[in-house]
Amino acid sequence: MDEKTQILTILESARQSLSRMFADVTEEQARATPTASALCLGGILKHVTYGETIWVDFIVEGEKVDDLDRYAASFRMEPGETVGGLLDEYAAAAKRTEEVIAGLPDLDTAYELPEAPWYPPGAAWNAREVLLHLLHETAQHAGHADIIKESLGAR
Amino acid sequence: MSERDDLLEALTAHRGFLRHTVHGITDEQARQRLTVSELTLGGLIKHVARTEKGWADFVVDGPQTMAMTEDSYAEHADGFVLREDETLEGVLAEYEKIAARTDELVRTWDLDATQPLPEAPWFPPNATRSARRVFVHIVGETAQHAGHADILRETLDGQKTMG
Repeated sequence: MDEKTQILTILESARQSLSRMFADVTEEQARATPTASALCLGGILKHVTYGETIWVDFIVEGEKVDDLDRYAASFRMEPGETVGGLLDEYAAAAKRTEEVIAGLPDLDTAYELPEAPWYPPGAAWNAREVLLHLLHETAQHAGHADIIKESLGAR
Repeated sequence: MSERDDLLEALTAHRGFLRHTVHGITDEQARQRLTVSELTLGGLIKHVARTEKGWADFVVDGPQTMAMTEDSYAEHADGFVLREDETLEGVLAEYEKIAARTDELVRTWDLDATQPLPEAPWFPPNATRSARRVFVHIVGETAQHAGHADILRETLDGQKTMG
C-alpha cells in the first residue's frame, strides 16, 4: 500500500465512523444542541463536508480563499436540508478528494496559505499536510458528535 | 518539508489541541463527570497517552505488545480514569515522555516497515500495519478524543478550542 492509499484509508475510516452515527438520528435530533456547545450533529456533518471541499479546492487551485460567512453558515442546518441530503453531499466530497489525490504525482507540492491570524505567517502546505488536517478535523468533530449524540439519548 | 516533518508537525499540533482542553483546571475538575458521557478530562489525557504508547510499542516490538488479557482489559478501563493517587500534572508529564519517544520513532524508524496486527475480532485476519499508518492513526485517535475533551471543557467553563 503506498503512502497516498494509507492516508486515504485512515481518512475514509474517520469519515465512516462519523457518517455511521447518523444511521438512527432523526431530522429533529440532527438540529438539536443538547450540550454546552452550539454544535448540532447535522451542522457538524455539513461543516466537515465544507472543510473537505475547500481544502481540496486549495490542492487543485493552489490558493486558499477563506469566506467567513460561508464558514459560519457551514455549522447550521438550514430549513429544507435533510440528514440524507447532507450524507450524500459528504460522500460526493469524499469521492472528489479520492479522485484529486489519485491524480497527483506525489503529496509534496506546497502552496502558500494566505496571511491570516489563524495561519502561521509565511506558511505553505502540501497535499499531505492538507490530508492530515482533514483527518484531524474529521476525527475531532466526530468526537464532538460522539458526546452530542450520547447527550441526545440516541445511542 | 519532508514526510517525517509533516507527521511530526501534525502530531505536535494535535497533542497541543488536546492539552489545551485541560489548561488551568484542577485535579478535581479533571476527575469531574460533566456530561451524560462517563468520560472525564483527566481520563482522556491518560487514555490518549496510553494508546499512543501502545501503538509506539507495536511499531517497535510487534503484536505481542497488544495481547488482550484480563489484566489489559482492566488496564484499558483504568486508562479512562484519573485516580485519586494520580494528578493531572503527573499524567501530562507522562504524556510528554511518551510523545517524545513517538517523535523520535517518527524521525528515525522506517515508515514502510510493517508489523502484523494481533488476532482480534476488530482487525481483519492476517492484516499488517506500516509505521506510517500507525503514526497517522495516532493523529486521528488523538483528534477524536480532543473532540470529546472540547465538549467537556466547554461544559465546565465555556472554553472553546475550535468552531
